[in-house]
Amino acid sequence: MKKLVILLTFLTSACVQQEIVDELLLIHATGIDYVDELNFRATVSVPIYKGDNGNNSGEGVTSETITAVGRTAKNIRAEMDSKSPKLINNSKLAVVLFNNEMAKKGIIEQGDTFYRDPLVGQRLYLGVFEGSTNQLLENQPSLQPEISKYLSELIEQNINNHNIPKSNMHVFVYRLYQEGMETYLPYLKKVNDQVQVTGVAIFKNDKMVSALSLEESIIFKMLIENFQGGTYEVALPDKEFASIRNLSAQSSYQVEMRKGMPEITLNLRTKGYVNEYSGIPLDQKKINEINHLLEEELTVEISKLIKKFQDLETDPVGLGFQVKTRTRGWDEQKWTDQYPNVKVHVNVDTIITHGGVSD
Amino acid sequence: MKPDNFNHSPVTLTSLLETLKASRDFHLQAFTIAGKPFNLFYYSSLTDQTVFKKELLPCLRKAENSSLKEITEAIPFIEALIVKDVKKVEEKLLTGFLGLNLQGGTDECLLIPVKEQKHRDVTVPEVEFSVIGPKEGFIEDIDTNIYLIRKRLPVKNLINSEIEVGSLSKTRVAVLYLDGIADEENVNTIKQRVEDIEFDHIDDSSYINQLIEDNSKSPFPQLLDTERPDRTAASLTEGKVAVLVDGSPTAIIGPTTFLEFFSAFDDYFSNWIISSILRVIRVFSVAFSIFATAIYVAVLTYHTPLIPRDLLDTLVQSRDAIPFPPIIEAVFLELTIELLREAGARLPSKVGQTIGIVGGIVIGTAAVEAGLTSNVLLIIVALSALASFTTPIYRIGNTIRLLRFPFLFAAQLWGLVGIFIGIGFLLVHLLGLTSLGRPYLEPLYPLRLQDMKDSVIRLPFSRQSQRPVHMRPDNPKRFNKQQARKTRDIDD
Repeated sequence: MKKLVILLTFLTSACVQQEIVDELLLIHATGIDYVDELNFRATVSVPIYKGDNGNNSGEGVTSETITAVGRTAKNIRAEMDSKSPKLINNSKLAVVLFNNEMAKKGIIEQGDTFYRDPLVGQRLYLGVFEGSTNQLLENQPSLQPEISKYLSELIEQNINNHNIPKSNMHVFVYRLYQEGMETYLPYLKKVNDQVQVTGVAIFKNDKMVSALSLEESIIFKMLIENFQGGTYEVALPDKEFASIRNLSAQSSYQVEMRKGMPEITLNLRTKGYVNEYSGIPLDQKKINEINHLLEEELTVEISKLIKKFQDLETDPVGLGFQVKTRTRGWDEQKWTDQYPNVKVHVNVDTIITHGGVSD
Repeated sequence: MKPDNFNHSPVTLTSLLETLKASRDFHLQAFTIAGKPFNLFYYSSLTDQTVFKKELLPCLRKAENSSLKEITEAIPFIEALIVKDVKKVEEKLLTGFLGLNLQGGTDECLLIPVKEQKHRDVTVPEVEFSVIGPKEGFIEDIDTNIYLIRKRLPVKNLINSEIEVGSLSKTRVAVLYLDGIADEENVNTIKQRVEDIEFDHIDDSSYINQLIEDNSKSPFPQLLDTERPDRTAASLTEGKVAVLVDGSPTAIIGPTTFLEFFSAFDDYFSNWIISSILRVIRVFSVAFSIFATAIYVAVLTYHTPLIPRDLLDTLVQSRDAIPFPPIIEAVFLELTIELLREAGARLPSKVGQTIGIVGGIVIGTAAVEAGLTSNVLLIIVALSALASFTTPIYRIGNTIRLLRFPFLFAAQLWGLVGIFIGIGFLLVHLLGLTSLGRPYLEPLYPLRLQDMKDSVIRLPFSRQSQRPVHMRPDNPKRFNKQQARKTRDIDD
């Protein structure tokens, strides 16, 4: 037995492919651009280390790109390999951005490449970028010289603290393949030389059909996930406004069948406090008024957003999924036909806890 | 030369004295007691000359009768004995007795103990030093060591059975246990094993330790060695058996468990919460010490996806200029540390260790600046070397430092899988180990919750009313818990 173990030690020692971390070209970000009907262009961003033996770690990192055009991911990979001095490795991929033309054409083919690769993490951020991702990745942003880190931190920050609903590859693929649900991705744009998350790209199957603004995005976020720490601004009469902070939202759905046609009631409970108010006296009466206005405004906005989705014939909120889980014999085809005409009642219940520090 | 000259012993006293006279420090002189000529013989190096001259000689001169029996009564040495057997005479002379024999008479001798008592004073334990608590350590003299234990356990149940071991060294080995508490099986096992030892020269208790441990092919020590009398006494009260060896300042204690090697005796001197935390830290530091470098090598060689994004830049940057694969730099640094430790141990004083550590930092920094190793690895190796010194028992610290190397090679061969294969082998080995026939991994396996009270954690003394079941003590109760409660109720 012992001899066998020793023998195996030597026999199997060369079986595993060694991948020493500094001998790899680790892709950190990928951009995919639309070229024509058949071809697409992939740009990968890899970090370049100029550190003097790690003495000022993290500072000497910049990025460089490799670009290839082709019909399939394998094509492109072969071309990239021929341009690379080291073995290209996908394992630290953090961001994949699709050009908006590409997204409109459909991204399942490219997305699938990443989804199937076991080296690629499920927490990879996908996003849609308006413009050429090639140009984006070739630039070095001023805030963080390493572009992929900049992009992933930008998206992460907006998801955790602001208006963008939770999104990564796992969420994207789950919503893509789940019946009665459509998927979405963060939507990025270059505004005055700075990359900005401007909203949410809404998909129908794997094709982008619309992009929500930031204001619509927070409403959308309220509908699909429970969250805390949002911000919402209410316009009051007389050109006054109030800003609601630490907004938390919980949504629940009720489904009733009326003559084979589902009717959905959406209950939204939100909670927050007034952080900023442009008028001077903020008393309980005013708070109640703000509360009331907020309720009304949210009801209107939610109804508008759902109507928008119904007109686009896409269901990113997952109303179909709510119906599916509550009724027997749900049929996807039938639902798709019914969806644009489904009635959705919106009940919003808001609580404003206090008037901020000045209270 | 005669074929068996060594074991040949003279038959008559005269021939014995002839043989012994070959040594310059053996004295044979004529002496007259009450008008009769006597032979007086002794080793001057083994006898205390002051006692001999100031106490024995005056008495012998004053003696009025010349029969050995009457002389015995006249001298103030209660251990004096009259012996006829030549072999016994030889034995006693070699342990510091003085012989007296009537010239031209029979072989009958009077043997008077005038032993030279030379040993150093009881000092502070050097290896198991504790900041608080008793500061006595064992010394090389077995009688002093037994005294140190008896002083802490003044009960008649403390039994000391002595066995002589070593055909040349004739070392006194004392097996100590508390009768009525220690399991007879443990006592008999130890006695049996000590008696069975076939070796000519026993220099230290570690000889005995290696000769009687259950599996001598294991790098793990299976009997605890300590230089603290307080720890020995405390172990005896738990039902363990202690072995003291003449000439050795360390006692052997058994049966022991793996976790006991991570408990310092200081743990009992400070609050149970603090000592529990310290023990947990020690166990973690040992795990860190064994696995840290191996994990570094495995992750950098095979498992890039496991490196967190923010750490990646630091790691790659520090490795960028290094021409070797991770395994080479790791082995290089580990060997450097081992070298420094070994050199430090050979240097005469504690200053040597300080120089060793400083040297390590200097060499390490220079190696990083020369681009031979990455500074991330330097930190890991230095930390794991430091962590391996947190073990209170010196011997297990060595085991742990050497265990690193197999894991390092396994990590290079098969990555993390290799490390887990290594853990598998290690666990199987540890599970199979026994200490005096009792499982080594107790109370973890076999799981004995009642013994957890003094393992990785240490519960307060009020919860320690039971002796560890591991030892199968004859009397499992340390104190009566109900009674203890009652007295406190009255105080309230």
